[in-house]
This record gives sequence, structure tokens and C-alpha cells, in this order.
Amino acid sequence: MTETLAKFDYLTSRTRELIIHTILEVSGSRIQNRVLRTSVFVLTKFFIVVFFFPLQIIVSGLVLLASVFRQRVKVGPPRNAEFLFYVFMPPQNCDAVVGDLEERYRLIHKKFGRRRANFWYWTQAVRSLGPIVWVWTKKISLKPFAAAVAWAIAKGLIGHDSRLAVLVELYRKIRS
Amino acid sequence: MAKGDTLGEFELLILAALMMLGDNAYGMTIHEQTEKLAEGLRTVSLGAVYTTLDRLEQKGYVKSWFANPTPERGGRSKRFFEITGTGELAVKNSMKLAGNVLAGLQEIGGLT
Repeated sequence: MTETLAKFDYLTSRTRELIIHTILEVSGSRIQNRVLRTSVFVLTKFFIVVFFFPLQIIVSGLVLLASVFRQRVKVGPPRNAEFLFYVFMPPQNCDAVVGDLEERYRLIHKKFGRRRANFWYWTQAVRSLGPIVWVWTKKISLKPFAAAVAWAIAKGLIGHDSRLAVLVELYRKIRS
Repeated sequence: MAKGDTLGEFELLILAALMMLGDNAYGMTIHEQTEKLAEGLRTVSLGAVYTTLDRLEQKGYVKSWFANPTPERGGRSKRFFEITGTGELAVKNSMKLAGNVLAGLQEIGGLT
């Protein structure tokens, strides 16, 4: 480098020294940068191999385990839909209806998965609850109706001629 | 034949399904059989099947009993149904009535 600079005879020795110093400093920092970059790269690789891969394996294992566990535990119809039957039906009938639906639910769950099976169960629940609620309402409203009729007869609000008609109507309601 | 002995349309369907199913008549199979019989004419829900079966049992047309609980039903037992002699008679009467109506309509050319 000194020989190359010697060709430029118009430069003072001080200037030449300054140029050489600057060149050396720049190349030194380049080397330093390269070392730094390499060490960062090696450390990153080390971190990925030592921490990240095992962590990833553990996390995916846990996710898999959770899904298997959930499938094993949750093979059952939606609880809210099932509860509706318990609200409106007598216990013996309720067990029979829910048992029938659950039997079919499990088949659908096996074939088509949980989401479709749940959808099917809700459809059945909504369709079935119409007649069940109607029967329940009739049964519930019958007692107050009978009480009101009895009260009206006792108070003399219903005359002699209409008593028989009311009783016949009440009997027909009970029969139906 | 007293007035109360006639069957409704749905009751007749259920009793016919019971006669077809024989020993294997429980909620789900009755529901399926009734749906087959009523195909294209009306929809059938399991709730309607059970409420009708209860009504028929109260009338004495049907009798029921519970089987042992099974795990595939979540530990719940099946309720089996069977048509009684009175029930069969009611079906016969209803069919006879329907036959009379059909014959009457065919006589006047009402049904072509």
C-alpha cells in the first residue's frame, strides 16, 4: 500500500499516513462487522435448534393430546338442547326420548363429526319440542281452568243451565 | 262403534307402524317407520311420536315397557311399545271406515 501511495509524489507524507490509517480502520471495522454477523447467525441457529424445535414439538403434542381428550370426553349431545327435554317432559319419557336421540347422535357423530351431529340434534330438538310443549301447556293450564270454573260455580256466576255444558267441556279437554 | 273409538290420522299412522315393526318397536324405529308411511304427506317429529304414543297408551291401544339401559344411549333405557287387541280393533275400524268412504266416492265417480 505504501508503494502504491509512493506513485502519488505530490502527496505529503502526513497525508499518506492519514490515508493508510483510514484504510486500515475501515477494513478493521468490516472484519469486526463480519464477526458480529456470524456470531449472531450462529446464536440464532443455536436458539432455534435447542429451544424452538423442542418447544414446537411439545406444543403440537399438547394440542394433539387436547383434541383427542376432547373427542373422548365430549361425545355427547349439546347439553342445552338436552336440557329443554328435561324441562318440558316427565322424567321417564324424557329418558326414552333423549336416549333415542343420543343413540342416533352417536352414529352421526361417528360418520360426519361433532358439528354436523350437533346441528342434527338441535334440529330434532326444535322439531320435537313443539308438540311436547303444547301437551305441557295444556296440562299446566287445565288446573287453573278447573279452579276458575269451580270458583265461578261456587260464586253463582255460572247458572244452572250452563254448569253441565262447562263440565262436559272440561271432561272433553281432559280426554284430549 | 262408539264415537271415541275412531283414530286420528297420526294415531292411525303410529299404530300401523307398530303393527309393522312387531318386537322392534321403540321410539326411533317407530319414528322412522312413520316417516316412511307419511312420506311426502306430512313431517313427523320424535316429540309428536312420543306424545301420540302416550295418548294411545292412555286410551289402552298401546302398552309399553322399559328395557335395560345401554351405554350407546348414554345409560338410558329403551322404551318398547306394542299394540294391544283394542288397538288392532281400532285400526281395523278406521280402515273399514276409510274403505266405506272410498267405495262411496268411487260409486259416484268422485275419485278417478
